[in-house]
Amino acid sequence: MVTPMDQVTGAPALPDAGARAGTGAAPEPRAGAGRSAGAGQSAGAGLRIEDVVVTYPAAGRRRGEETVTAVDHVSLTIAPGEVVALLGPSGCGKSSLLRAVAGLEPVAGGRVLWDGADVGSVPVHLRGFGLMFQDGQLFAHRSVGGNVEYGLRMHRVPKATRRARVAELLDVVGLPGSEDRSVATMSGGERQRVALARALAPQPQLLLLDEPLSALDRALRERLADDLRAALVATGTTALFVTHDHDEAFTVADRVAVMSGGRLLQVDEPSRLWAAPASREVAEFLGYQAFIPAGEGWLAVGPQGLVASERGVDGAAGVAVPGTATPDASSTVGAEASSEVGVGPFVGTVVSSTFRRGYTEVVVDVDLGAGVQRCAAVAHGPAGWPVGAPVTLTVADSATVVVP
Amino acid sequence: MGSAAPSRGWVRMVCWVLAVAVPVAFLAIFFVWPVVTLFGRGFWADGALDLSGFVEVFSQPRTWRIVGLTLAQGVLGTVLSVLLGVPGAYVLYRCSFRGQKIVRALVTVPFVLPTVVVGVAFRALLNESGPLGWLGWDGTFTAIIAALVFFNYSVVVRTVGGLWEHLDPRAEQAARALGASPARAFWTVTLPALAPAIASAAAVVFLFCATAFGVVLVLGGQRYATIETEIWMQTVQFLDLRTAAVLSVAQLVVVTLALAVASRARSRREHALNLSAATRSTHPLRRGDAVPAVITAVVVGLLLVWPLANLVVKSLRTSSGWGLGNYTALGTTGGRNALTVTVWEAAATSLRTAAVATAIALVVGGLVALVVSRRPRAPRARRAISVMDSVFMLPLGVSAVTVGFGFLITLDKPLGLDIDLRTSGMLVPIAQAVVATPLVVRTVLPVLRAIDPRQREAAATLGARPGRVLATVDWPIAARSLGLAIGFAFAVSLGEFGATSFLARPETATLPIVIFRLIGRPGAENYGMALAASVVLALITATVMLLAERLRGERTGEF
Repeated sequence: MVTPMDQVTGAPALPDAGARAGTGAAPEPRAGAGRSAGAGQSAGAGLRIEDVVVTYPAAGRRRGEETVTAVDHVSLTIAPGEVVALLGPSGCGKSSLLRAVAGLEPVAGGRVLWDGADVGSVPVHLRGFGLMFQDGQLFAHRSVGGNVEYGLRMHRVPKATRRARVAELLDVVGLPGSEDRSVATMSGGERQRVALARALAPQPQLLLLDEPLSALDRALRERLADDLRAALVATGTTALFVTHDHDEAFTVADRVAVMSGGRLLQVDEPSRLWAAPASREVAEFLGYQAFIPAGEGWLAVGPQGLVASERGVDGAAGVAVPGTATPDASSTVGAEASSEVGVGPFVGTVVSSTFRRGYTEVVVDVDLGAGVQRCAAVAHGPAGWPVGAPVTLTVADSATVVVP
Repeated sequence: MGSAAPSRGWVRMVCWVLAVAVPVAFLAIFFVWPVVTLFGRGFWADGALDLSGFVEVFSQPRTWRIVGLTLAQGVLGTVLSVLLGVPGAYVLYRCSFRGQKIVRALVTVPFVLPTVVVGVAFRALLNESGPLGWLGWDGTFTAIIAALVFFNYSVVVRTVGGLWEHLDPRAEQAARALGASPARAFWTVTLPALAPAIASAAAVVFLFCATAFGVVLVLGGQRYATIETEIWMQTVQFLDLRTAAVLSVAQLVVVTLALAVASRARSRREHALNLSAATRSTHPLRRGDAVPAVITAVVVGLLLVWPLANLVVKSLRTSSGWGLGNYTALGTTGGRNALTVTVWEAAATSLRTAAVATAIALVVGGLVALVVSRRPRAPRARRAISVMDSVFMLPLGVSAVTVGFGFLITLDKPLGLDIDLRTSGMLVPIAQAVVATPLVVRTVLPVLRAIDPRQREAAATLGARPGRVLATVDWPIAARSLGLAIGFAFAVSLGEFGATSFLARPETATLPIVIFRLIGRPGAENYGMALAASVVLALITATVMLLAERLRGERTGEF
């Protein structure tokens, strides 16, 4: 689904993500004004979430007095044309925050601003924020075309324009000519494409996506993540995107906001986030798995940063394993690597070993200086490491970062 | 938006207030007030609360016998309906065979048949001249139970079958793979999954059996009284309002309990339905299905088809041999002028009345369903909505006889206005609408509730204001249940007997009233006319239901 920019009306051509923030010269729509379709991208201040709190009445309580805080004083800014992912485990409050921005949940504290204007009192249908659900929520009683044109109808777009816009968007999402199909006959991936087209059709000033790909299988998800990115870039859409999948967040978003327990832990571009997690919690969530005490903080080891080798009789590290099968455990496997980092090698005990794509994952119990923890190390060659046997673990320095 | 939004919000507020106020006012004036007034006659003597009536009524052995008989009738009717209905649900909704559609339609018919027709049909089967006369069941408790099962078999089949059809077969397959025999898998996996539907159906069937009026009156005569017929006897024959009021309260207690069970079971069922919405699996009848298939064939053939077929055959039998004599007599007022109007005139009255009653029930019931389907955020509003939901089910449970009699004593000058509603001819349709409204609510509400709230949210984020959300999301889906709601309301109005028997004047008698009068009069001619009129009423009802099903349209899809 490669989309030529010129297919999309009103969208400024945006060559790459880096240049996106701050571009867009279309006239700025008033916050909360009932936007007609065809309004361009905003050149204003974009979305500003200020100290927002979202609470729910505690479920099952008789009196309904106690509340659960789902979003706990979160602040976040999204520049026009920018795509930000809210990344966090399920139940961390990311969907609640999204719904609060959409106007579907009342805000218990703080403000949501668009272009500097508080939209707190603007009802959902006048905010001009699109929303795409995890399971699409297509209207089963309408055809594909009927679904996509729904938002345009609501904005009283004339029929001819509507038809053209629907065709154009179905093209953008890779389903050209499917206007008359029934949504009941579509596969999960196709439905999500239609849902995306429907959400994009009225040209929302901000598109909110609630786990739009989570209900799909892995291969489809990976492909659709690329398509989603392309569609958002092509339409120059400002988007806030909720997901629990790191790869999805890194693929689709310009910046990633890591959320946990209702709080925002860190917001940064994917590469910088990966290179400098702000805390051990963020690092753990991103997939850093082993933590070695280092001064005031920790040396966090990436998913494939521990290299296992059989322990020799004399207690020294075994033979370096040849070959380079994984990107992180690169050619510097072996004892030399650890000397560069200045930690290890460590001696652990094999718990299990499994052959993965191109390498063997050895699960070990090891004391890295802060008590025994269970980690996964990589090794070359076949699985079948004897359980309970000692193993030497070296740390590949290219896969480590220091976190406070 | 500025000033536009607040004023729009204000309009919306007014609309919702109206949506709540109209049905509540209707229920208050045409149900609560008459019923409470009637109760009051029983408990207020000389301006003071007087509970001696309770003591008096419940110290009579006759009362206890009637209560016992009512409960026995409810329990027996329910148990038999469920025992026969569950295999029927399996065969008709889980298996597939040629002619299944016809059998399913056939099973639906008894539910909408007027009680008087069913009573007449069973009498024609069981009396001395009937093909089953040798059983000696005419006028016995057994005959009443058989007729009640005839009625309620379809309730069980439809309710349980509706869920069973959508039950994911893989749970049972998993149990089989884990080593369970087919019977074991049924007992441990399928039956528990069906339990909410069975409980819900059982509660409704119990309600229908315990409050049956027309069937008991026609089949049991004076010998077998239930609370419902006793209320009628006490008010109409003995004019003993106090006893009637005490019995009404007793019945209300029984019915409220049954409704509470039904509502709990129902909420669980709606939940369960959400879990397995789209799956559907049937298999052709196979050897292992022999037992349920035979049970179903026997029930459909002997219990459902035979009485109706026999009714039609008997209606063609005149004193001078076979012929349409009974039908041509429908243009007369019966032997020895048993009636004030001809049967055809009564049929016209019935249709007119039912049309008005249906319109009222649709408006009131539709508004109730709409309001009750909302899920507001405030806990207090949620509670208010759940109260409204239960309150509008009450007319199902309060004796229609009570409603009818309550009308008579309160609506001569409603709210102090100087209009006597009793002479306007509006009382009958209003009373029938009171009885039909709960059915409309129960038909439309599950459909509205099954709409994922996120559908409405999606529409709102696409720019639809609340009114448009209703028009474009709720309405297209709810409209499909409206045809069925119209059918039910119309059929209930056509067959309504309890309240109508109080309110209809001789010149505005409806078909059920005319039929009841005809079988109460001596003479083979009148009996033959009653049979023919029953066939006519059954045909009208069946036609209305068929048309209503058509109204639903041929649209297919998820809903």
